[in-house]
Amino acid sequence: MSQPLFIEEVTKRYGDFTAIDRVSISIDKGEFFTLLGPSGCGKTTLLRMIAGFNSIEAGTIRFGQTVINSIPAYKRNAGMVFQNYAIFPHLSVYDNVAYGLKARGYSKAEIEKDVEEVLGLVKMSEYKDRQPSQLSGGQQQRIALARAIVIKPDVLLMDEPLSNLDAKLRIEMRSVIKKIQQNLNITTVYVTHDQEEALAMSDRIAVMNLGTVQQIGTPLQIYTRPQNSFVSNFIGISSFLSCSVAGNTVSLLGHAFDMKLARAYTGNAVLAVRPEEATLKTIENGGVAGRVQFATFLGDFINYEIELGGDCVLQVNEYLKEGLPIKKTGDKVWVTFDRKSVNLFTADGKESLV
Amino acid sequence: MKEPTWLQKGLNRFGFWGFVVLAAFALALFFLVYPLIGMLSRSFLPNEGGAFSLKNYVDFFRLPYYFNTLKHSFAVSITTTVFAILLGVPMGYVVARFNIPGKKLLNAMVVISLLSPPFIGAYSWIMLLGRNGFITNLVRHIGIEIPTIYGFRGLILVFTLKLFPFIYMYVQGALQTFDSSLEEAAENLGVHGLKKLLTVTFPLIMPTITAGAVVVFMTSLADLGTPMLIGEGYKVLPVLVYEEYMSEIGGNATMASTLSVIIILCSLSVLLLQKISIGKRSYSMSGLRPPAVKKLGKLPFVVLTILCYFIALCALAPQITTMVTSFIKTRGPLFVPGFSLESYRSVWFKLSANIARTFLYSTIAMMFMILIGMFTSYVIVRRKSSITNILDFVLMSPYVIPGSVLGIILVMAFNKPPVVLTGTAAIMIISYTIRKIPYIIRSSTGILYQLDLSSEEASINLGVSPMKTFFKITAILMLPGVLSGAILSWISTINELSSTLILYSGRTGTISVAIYTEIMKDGYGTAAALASILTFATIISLLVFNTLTKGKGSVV
Repeated sequence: MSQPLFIEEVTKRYGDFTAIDRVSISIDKGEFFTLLGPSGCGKTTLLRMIAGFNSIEAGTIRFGQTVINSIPAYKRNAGMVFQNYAIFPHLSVYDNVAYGLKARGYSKAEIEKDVEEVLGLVKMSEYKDRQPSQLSGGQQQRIALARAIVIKPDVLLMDEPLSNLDAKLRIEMRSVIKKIQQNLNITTVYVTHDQEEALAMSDRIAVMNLGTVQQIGTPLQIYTRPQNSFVSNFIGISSFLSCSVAGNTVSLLGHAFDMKLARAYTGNAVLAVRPEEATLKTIENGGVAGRVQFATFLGDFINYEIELGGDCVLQVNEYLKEGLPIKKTGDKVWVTFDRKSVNLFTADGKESLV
Repeated sequence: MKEPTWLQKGLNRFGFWGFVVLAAFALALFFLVYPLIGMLSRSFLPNEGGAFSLKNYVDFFRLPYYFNTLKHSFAVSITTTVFAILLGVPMGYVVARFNIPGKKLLNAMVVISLLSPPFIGAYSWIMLLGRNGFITNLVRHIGIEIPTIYGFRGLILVFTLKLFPFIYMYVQGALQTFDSSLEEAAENLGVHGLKKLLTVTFPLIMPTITAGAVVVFMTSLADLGTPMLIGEGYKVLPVLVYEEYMSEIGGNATMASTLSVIIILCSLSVLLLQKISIGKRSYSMSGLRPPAVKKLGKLPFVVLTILCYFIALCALAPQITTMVTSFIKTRGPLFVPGFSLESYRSVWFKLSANIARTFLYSTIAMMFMILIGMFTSYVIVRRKSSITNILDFVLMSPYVIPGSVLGIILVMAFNKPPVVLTGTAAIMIISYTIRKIPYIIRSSTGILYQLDLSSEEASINLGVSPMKTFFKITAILMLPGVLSGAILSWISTINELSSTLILYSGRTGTISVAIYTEIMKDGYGTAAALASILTFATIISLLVFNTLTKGKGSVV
């Protein structure tokens, strides 16, 4: 039966190197929770600590009320989908899926019923007598998922499960996994470095860097209100512009505007602007003056790199609209910002001011 | 419920793998380290009950009788290695890169010649080119005298033809996985032909060539049977070791021990020399796009094809000779015209026990090898620690111990109470197992390194304990590889002579010993029949090996 998962002040050390530094996360029962971060951020290390393949140096991990720190991996009941699927090459599809049930001492009839059911769920019923070598990558992925969920795990762990698939299949498998997860209401911890995947699939995301959690929130929260410049930079595209703040007024390259800030602040700051949060005008309108440095045609929109004086470069997306002229390198433009959606950080990038 | 005793608790914590490490160490210490230390200490104790002394070593370097054998051994091994490279590298290159017809047949011929014992080569070449050889007698009629093939020349002939296949197979294997884009890059930059070979191709396969050269050098240095048959006055180290041991029987075998230490040091230094010279310069290539096979012009095609097959036939000559002569009629030690199954009949009546024993001992030894390969390679790879590293090192050490030396140290260690094993089948099986352990450990650890750890983790994750996971997943995935390694060891075990010659007794003689003694008694017909039986068993085992590895396995 699915359980909520509690990670409390957990630490992992390799010699002098701290791979996971006092991480705390609470995951609700049935929640799809993603650990997102660049490679080396500790996300897989943390997942393997939950699975029992890495020891826990400090802190506790609980499945519901049960502390699992000292329970060996094979008694944890945490189904895992491996990055390379880890399908047993010497067992048929049926025997792969039945493997965990046999270990739990189920009767033959029960095993048969459960395996049939889960193979139906992942739409692989007709493949049950195949050998793994006869399956495609996507099919192996479905078997790996079936094998992990058939044991009715307390939590489901997935380690970059889509990274070995081609782009099209990856998008298809996203919804397969998400639908099954919702259907079964199974607590899931999902590891990925692909932000798009994380935004598309997750109920909540923890963005990690250098062994610490940078921000926990829904995909919308993380995208629109990143808590620091790392998250802002890692998720989506942001241009960072140095500015100064006095009270509520932001001054930027001779241009000043008011923003609603979370707290009063005076000093240097960084304005983070997403490409869709700025507007370009070809006539003087009180905005920041700039020059088109580079234009990239991307189909339904054009991405401009605008030089704003100094070394400040801003990326702006402009959707193709009737009558809107396409700008050329060297064209002079004036930029205004969507004051409600842009983000503002302290100069060190560690704190959000909005 | 009863409270577990401290013993049970300790055992639980220690675990199954702790027990495996302990057992492996215990066996290695008893059957390998203890006899080796015994040999080392005897080599410093020239007099019965005497004190530590360097006398034996001083004698060895002072007296030409001893020291010349070292010079002879090096002369033979170095010359053999050079010739084997000169023969093996070009042939490997030609067969890998050009459209030589029947490559599979050619390679099968080479592999079969490779897997038979060297001394059968010596015996066959004596039958062909010896004082009373077929070819010698044939050309004598037309007035040509073939120079003697006994001594240095014979050793070089036999060893080169016997051992160049190692270089050939290594080079061919390396060239087949060679990444062709490297050669294309050289051509793109304006380097082609011989210059491309010398600046790109050969430097990259150099580590492979030297690895093959070390095998050739060590095998020719260690072999006992060949110089015993064809060396005559030209005495090499293993022969001296054997003679000293035989003359010292009942005594302490102190000079034999000293010689053994020296020969082990020689192999060891050659091995280290190769490791140092290669250093970090070993290149792994994926060979996603192996180089295309080039078409030869008409004349080079004919010449090179004939040359390759001629060399392969020469390598296979011992097998062909023994096959043919085994069916020739004999009268006493003489061959007479006409064919018959007489030789096989006499083998059947006199020596069938030797055949049964050979297969029995080899099979038991193979079972030990599989057990050791499975369990110890698992702890060496998956439970890496300084302790298992030491275990790895100890188990690799037989690689530099010649068979005859291993035989002697086992006899000296187990010929007196409390453990008397001399003359038993057990000591021979122990010796076979020890000799092949380095190979079986290497191939088994190689397989384990290739096996993805996540299969084991998936099993544990699904609720199967690590110990059960080993038997349900790891062992099964390892088995084909371990088994094919064991079959190769089995082949070389049925052909083994060097240690058998020291260890056998009237009740434990094997096929190879029977062949050797028959040759010594001029029973050439029965020797040929026995050798043919060995060749036949080797070919059958090779077929099993090929099925197991689905043709992907490598013999060398």
